[in-house]
Amino acid sequence: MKSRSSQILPLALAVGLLAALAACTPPVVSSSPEATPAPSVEVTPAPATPPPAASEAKLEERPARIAAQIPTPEFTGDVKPLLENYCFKCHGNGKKKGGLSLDAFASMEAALQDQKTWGHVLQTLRVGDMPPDDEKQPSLEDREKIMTWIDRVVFAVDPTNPDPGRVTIRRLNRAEYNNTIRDLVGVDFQPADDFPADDSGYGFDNIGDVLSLPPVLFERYLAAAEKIMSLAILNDHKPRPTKIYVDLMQIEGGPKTGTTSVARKIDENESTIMMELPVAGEYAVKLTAESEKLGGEGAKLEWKFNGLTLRTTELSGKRNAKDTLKAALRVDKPGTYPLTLRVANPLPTPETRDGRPLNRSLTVREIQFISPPLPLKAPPSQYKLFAPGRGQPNLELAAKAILADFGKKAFRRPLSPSEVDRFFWIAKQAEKKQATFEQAVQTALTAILVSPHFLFRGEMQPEPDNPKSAHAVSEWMLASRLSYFLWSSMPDDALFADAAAGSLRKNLAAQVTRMLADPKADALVENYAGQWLQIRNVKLVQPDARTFPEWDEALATAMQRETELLFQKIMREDRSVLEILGADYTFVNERLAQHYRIPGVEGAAFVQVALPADRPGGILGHGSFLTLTSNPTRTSPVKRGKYVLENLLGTPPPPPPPEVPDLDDKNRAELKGTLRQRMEQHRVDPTCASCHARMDPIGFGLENFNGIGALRSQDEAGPIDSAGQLVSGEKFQGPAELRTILLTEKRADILRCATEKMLTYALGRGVEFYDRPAIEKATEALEKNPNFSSLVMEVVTSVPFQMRRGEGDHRKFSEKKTTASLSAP
Amino acid sequence: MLIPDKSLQLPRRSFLRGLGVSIALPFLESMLPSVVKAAASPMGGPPRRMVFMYLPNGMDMENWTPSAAGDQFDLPSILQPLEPIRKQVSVLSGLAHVNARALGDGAGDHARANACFLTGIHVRKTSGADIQAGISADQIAALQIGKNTRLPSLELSCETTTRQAGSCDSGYACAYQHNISWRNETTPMPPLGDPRLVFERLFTTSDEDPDLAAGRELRQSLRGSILDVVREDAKAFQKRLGATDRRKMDEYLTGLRETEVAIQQQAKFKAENAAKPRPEMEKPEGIPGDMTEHIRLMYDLLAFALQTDSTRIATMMVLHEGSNRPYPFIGVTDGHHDLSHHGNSAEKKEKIAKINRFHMEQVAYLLTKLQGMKEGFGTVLDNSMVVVGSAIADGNAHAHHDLPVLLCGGGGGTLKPGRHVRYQSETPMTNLYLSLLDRMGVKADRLGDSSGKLERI
Repeated sequence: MKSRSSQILPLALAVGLLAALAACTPPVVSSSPEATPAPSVEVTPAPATPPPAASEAKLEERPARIAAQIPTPEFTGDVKPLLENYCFKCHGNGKKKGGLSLDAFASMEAALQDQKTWGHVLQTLRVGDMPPDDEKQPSLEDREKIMTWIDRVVFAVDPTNPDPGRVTIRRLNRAEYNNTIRDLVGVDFQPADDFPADDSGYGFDNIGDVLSLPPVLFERYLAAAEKIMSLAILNDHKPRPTKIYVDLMQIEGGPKTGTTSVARKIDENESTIMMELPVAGEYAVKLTAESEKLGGEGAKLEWKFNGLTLRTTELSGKRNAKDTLKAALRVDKPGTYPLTLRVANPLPTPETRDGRPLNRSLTVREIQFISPPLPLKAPPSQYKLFAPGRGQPNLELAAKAILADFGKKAFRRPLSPSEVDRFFWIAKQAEKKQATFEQAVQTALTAILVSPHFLFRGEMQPEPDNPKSAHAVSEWMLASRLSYFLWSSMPDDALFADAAAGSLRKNLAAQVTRMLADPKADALVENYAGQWLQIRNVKLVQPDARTFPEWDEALATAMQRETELLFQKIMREDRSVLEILGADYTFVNERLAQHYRIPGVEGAAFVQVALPADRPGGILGHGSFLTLTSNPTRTSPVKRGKYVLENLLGTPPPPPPPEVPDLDDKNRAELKGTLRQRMEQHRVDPTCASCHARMDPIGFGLENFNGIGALRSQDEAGPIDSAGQLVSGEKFQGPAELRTILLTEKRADILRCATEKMLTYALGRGVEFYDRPAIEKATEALEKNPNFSSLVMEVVTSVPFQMRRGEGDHRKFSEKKTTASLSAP
Repeated sequence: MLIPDKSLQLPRRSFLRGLGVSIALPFLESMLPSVVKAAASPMGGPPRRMVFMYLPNGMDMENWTPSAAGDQFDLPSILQPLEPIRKQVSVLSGLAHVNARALGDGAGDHARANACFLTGIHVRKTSGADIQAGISADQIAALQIGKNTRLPSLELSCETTTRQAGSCDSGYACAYQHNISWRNETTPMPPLGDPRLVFERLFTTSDEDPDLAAGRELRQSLRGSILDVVREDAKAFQKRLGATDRRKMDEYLTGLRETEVAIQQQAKFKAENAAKPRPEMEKPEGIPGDMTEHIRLMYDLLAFALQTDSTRIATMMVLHEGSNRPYPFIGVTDGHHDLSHHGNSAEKKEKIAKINRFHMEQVAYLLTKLQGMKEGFGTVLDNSMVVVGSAIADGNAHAHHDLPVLLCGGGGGTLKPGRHVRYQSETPMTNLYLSLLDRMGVKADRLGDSSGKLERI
C-alpha cells in the first residue's frame, strides 16, 4: 500500500503542474541570438501510470540513453565486449594507465560497488574525452549502451521512477539570516555579520550538510534575537536621553578641503554648526577628533555656544590616537543655536611641509549631542509586529494573535495552537516578573527567533527514515524553497497566500516571473553568481604591486561589478544563459574602460558598451575571471583552464596525484623558454599530461591577457602565441576562436553545467547520480530555449526540487518496484 | 578526595581591594577554589594552560631543524627570532601525522592536514554530504575541565571572515580546511578572526551595549524560560526528522546546553571578572588591514584570555592549511601555497623561509608577552604549554612526517623547555597531545593514531 501511495503523489504533482503551466504565458521574449520561442515547459517525468498526451510526445524526442523504452544492457553480453574492444588496450589485461583498470575487480559485486570508477568512466564517455583521438572509436549507440548500463545497473537510475533524493535540514546561512530578519522584522541591522563564517560545500555556502551549528553560534543566535527585538520594540516609553549626530557636511566656515560625512577639518577660522535642539534643558556634547602636535604643542580647541565661549580644550596630538572632548551646555527654550569651533593657538608663522603651509588643525570624526530625556516614539517595526493584536477583546488573545502571526512568518508555516500556547507561556513568565505587555510579547517573540523552526528550514515528511517513501513537498515548504533560492530570504505575503490556498503549484510560473522581477532577486547575483563564477573572490586576490602598479581597490570593485552586471542583465532581461560566455557587450566605468582601452567612457557609473575586436565578450574577457585565475605576478594558464572546465563546462579535471612529481628535479634539464614552452615541456610527463592537456590549451588561448586582465601582445619571454587545440581536437587561434568553439562544440556541456550548478544552489545539496534524469531533461529543454527564466523554471519544476524522500541508501529507492512486483501474488 | 574548607579561603575581592590596584594577580594557592586546584593543577599553584597554534604550508625544513640535539642546540635562520626566549622553547623533531597522508584517497593533503592536526583522524573525503573528522585534543580537555573557567575553550584565527568562494581542496568540504578544533566527528568549532568579536566574547561587552540597556535585567532573567521552550521545540522536532537531520538537532541542543552553561558561568564568574584587569586596549573596530597588526592584536587577545583565566584551552589556526596569501610587506609577492610547491627552486625556498621566519617573529612576540605576565612566583608562560606547528613538513612533497613542531612554556614545572629533542621518525604527533592532556589533569587514553605518551618533553 505504501509504495502505491508514494507513486501516486508525484503523478498528482505532475498533473497539477501541467495545468498550471498550460495556463501561464511563456516568459518574456529575449533579444539574444540563441533565443527561440519558449516551448511549453515540460513536466517532471511521470511515474509508471501513462502520462498525459503532451508529455508522451516529448518523451520520444529524448536521447535514447534516458528514454525508458531502451532495454537495460547486460554486462557480459553487451558491455564487456565493448570495454574489451575499446578500453582494455590501456585499462585492462594488467595495464592501468592513469591508475584505471576495468578488469581488476575481485567480483562482479565488487565492480558494482565501485561507483567512483564507473562515475569517472561515465563522465569521460559523456564528454568524449575517451577513447583518445588516435584510438579506434566506439559508435554513438555503443557509447550509449555503456552509459545506460552504468546509469541503470551501477547507479540504479530509473527514469520512469525518478529518485528525488533528500536535502539535509538547512540552517539559515549568514546572508539568509540577515535578509530574513530584514523582511520579517524590518530593523535596519545586519546581525549575522557577527556570526562565524559559514562553511561551504560543492562550491556554495548554503549546503545543509556542512552548515554546522557550533556552540559559539548558538550564543550569537540568542544575543542577536535579543538585540533585534530590543531595536524592534521599545522596552519602556520613559523619556530618555537621545543621541543627535551632527552632519559634518553641514558645518559652515573653516577649511573646506577633505570634508566628508566622516571627517571635517577645523583650523583657526571659525566653523559653525547650526543645531536644532528639540527641548529646553542640558545637553552634553561629545566630539571625537585627532590632530598632530606642531612645535611641541597640541592644538587647542575653543568652543563657543550661542556666542559665549564655553571652554578651551587641548588635544593630545598623539599619533593614530583619537581624543574625545566633552562639553555641556544649557538652553532655556527649544530652537536652533550655533556651536562654533576654532583652533585657539595657531602657529605664529605656519610651517611648511612638502612645499605646503602647515598650521595647527584638527580633524573631527564625529560630533554627538546627547539630549535631556526625550519622550520616545515606537519604531515602525513595533506597529507592524503588534498589528495583529489590534481589535482583540483582551490582552491574552491579542498576545496570541501577535505570536501566531509572527510565528507563521518566522517558521514559514502556520503554528499549531499548542505551539502558540508554548510561546505564550513565555509571555506569562515575563508577566510574573512585572513585565509590561510589550515586554512580555517581546520576550516571546525573542524565543521564536531562537527556535529551531526559525533557524532551520525543516521539511516534515511522513517517513523520514524510509528511502522508499517519496512525496511532493508541501506548498509551504515549496514557498520556502522558492524564496530562499531566488531571494535568499523568507517567502513574502503573496507566496504565503498561495501556499495557504494550495494554489502555489498552480501559479508557479507566474510566481517565478514575479519573483525574478523583484529587486530581492539581486540575491541571485550576489550569492549565486558570486559563488558560481567566484566573483566574490576578486576582493581577496592580491596581485603584486610592482608587477601591476595599476591594480587597486577601485579596479577590483569595477571588475567584480562588470561580471555582476552581465549576470544581472541576463536575469533581468531574460536572456540566454549562454551569454555568460557569448555576450557581445560588456559593462564598464571610466576606470575599467581605461584598463580595457575602450575610449569615451567617463565617470564612476557603469555603461553598457560594445566590445573592441581584441577582447572577447562574456566572462572569458572579464578582468574578474582573468585576475582571480592568475598568480600574483603572472598568469596561470592552468588555473584559467581549470576554471573553465569546472565552472563553465562542468567537466572538472581530476585532482592532481597526491605525490606531485618533482618538476624541477636536479637530474632533469632546467626548463627554458616562454611559460608556454616550459609548460609544454613538463607535459611530457605522462602523469601530468592527461589532465594538463585538457586545462592548459584553454589557458594558453587567453594568454593575450595579463595577470590582471589587461591586453598584451608579449610577455617577458617574447610574443604571445595564443593558438591551441582542445583535447577533443578543435583547433583555434586566439581567444575569439576559442570562445566560438566553446559556444558551438561545447554548447551542451555549458547548458548542462549551468543546470548542475543552479540545481546545487537551489537544492542546497550536491548533485548526485540519481539526479541525472532531471539534469538531462533540463539540459534538453535549454537546448531549445536557453533563456534564464527557462533555466529557473526547469530547476523549480524538477523532481528533486518538487519532491523529497526519506533518508537512506538511494539504491533502496529503485528497489521499490522490484519488491512490489515480487510480493505481488 | 579534597574537601573544600571555605573558612580557609581568602575572599578574593577583598584581597584585591587590599592591594588597591588591578595589576597582574599573584595566584596564591589559598585563593583558588579547591575544585580548580584539583582539576587544573594537581600540584597546586596557578592554573595550567594549553594552546595549539597552526601554521600552514609546512616550513623550509633545512632552515628550521637545528643540527644539534639537547640544550646546546643551534637556532637555524627561521628560528632565530626566538633567540631572546629560547629557554622557553623546545624543538621536537621526528613527529608525524600519518593520517594526513592520502592512504588511497588521492589529492587533498591540505584539507586532510588541517583537520588531522589536532584530531589525528584520517577524515572522510567528501564535498559535504557526510563529513567525518573526530574530536580534537583541545575539545577533549574542554569537555572535562572547561567548566572551571568562564569559557571552556577559545578558538581563534587570523583569517578574515570572507571565505574564498568556490570549492576547497580537491573534493574535501571546506570545513576540514578551515577548522582545526572539532567538538565531535561532525561539528567543527569555527575560529573567530575578528578581534572585535573576540574582545566582546572575552570581556562580555555585549552586556554593556546601550541598545540593550532598557529592560536588561528582566531580559536576562527570562533567558532560562526561552531556552526551556525552544529545547522542547527541538526535541519534538527531532522526533519527526530523519537520521542526519536528527544529528543537526543534536548540534542545536548541544549549543543550547552550552549557552545555558555559559550564562551560568558568566553569573558565577561575574564578581571575579569585574575584579580582573581589563587590557589596556580599546575595543578593536574590526580586522586591521595590516596583517602583522591583525596577528599581533589576536595574539594580544589570546594572551589576555590566558592571563585573566577566562579560559585555559585555546587554539589559534593562524592561517588555514593551503593559505595562498602573499606577504608583500616582507617582499614576498607570490601566494604562499603557490610558493610551497617550490620544485627545489632556491629562490622560492628562500621566500618560504622568509614567510616562516615572519611567523616565528610573531610567535616570539606572543611568547615574550606571556613571559612578561607575572603570576605567583613565575609567569603565565611558565604555566602554559604552547604547541606551534604544522601537519605538513615540506610543502613541495606534502610530507607529513618529521613535522616542524615547537613546544613552548614550562607547563607549570612539568615541561623542560629549551632543548632540541629528536624522536624516532614516524612517532605520532598525537602522543605529544596525550602527554599534554595528562598534565592538564585530563583523562585521555587514545587520540587518532596515538600509540602512547610522548616522553622526554
